[in-house]
Amino acid sequence: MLEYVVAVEIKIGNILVMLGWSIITSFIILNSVYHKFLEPMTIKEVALVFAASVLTGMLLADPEAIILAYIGSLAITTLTLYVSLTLPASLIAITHPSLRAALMEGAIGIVTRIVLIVVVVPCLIGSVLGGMIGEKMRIR
Amino acid sequence: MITKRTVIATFFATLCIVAAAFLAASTYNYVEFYRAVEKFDAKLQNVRVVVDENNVKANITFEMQNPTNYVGMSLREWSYALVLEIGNEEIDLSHDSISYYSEPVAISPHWTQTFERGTDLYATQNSTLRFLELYPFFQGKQVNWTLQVQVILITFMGTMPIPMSSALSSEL
Repeated sequence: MLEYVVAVEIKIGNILVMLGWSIITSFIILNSVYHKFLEPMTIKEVALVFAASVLTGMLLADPEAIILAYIGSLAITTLTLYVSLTLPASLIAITHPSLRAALMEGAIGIVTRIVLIVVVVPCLIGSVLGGMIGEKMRIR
Repeated sequence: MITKRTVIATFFATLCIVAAAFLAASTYNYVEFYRAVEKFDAKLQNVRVVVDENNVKANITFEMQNPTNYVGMSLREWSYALVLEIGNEEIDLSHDSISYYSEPVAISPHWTQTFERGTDLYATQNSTLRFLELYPFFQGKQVNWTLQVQVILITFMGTMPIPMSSALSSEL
């Protein structure tokens, strides 16, 4: 019973870390998009996403948990970015129908570009590196 | 006992809370942006035309406002055309523009600014000549004015031209 509870707690902990990772990544990306919509993200911003991934990897410090969290975080981050960017259209802050449609379609392009460039590779490398550091430092 | 994991977990949790708070605030501001662009408004408050022999001076007062909570726009340039509807005619009476290229005006939430402009109308211009022809017949009568304003705003999406118009009925 105790083993079961411990296992569940660890899993809940991993889920929370995954959610936290998604929040931090989404915040860094959206903060950049909200300030310069069509411009690419800077090296500094990508470095921040990478640093957050290293921190997450250090906390998880387990290859299996890292890969699962990475997949989950990728999905949640993508969803958060799309929902946030299309929020003005969903909340009907934009009354013009063609402008609303343009934002919905434009958001797909922006999110795809950002996720492919900023999230997929830096987050994977960062989290694996963080996992290695975490294992070496015996954080878990 | 405080372990390394506890320290990192606490730091991570704090970072998450701060990021979530800022994410919510900046997303709210982003949603407001579209409202701000749509509701950015110019209101013509007063028009006074002074006719002195052949010299005509048009003085106008208008107000520009951002009625939303959005933070992050600035005004780079504005231009206007004052149109007079007199009888069945529309006379494009005066034009003017102001640029703030070197120092754009920051538009804060619920920003309001009143502009007063006085323009000398040249008697050689066709519009002024037509106005002077019609003026004696309509002096002291109600006429309709339309102010067509175009502002150029600097936003996170780049520069954005926003056309607006405002009407006013007043005595000539």
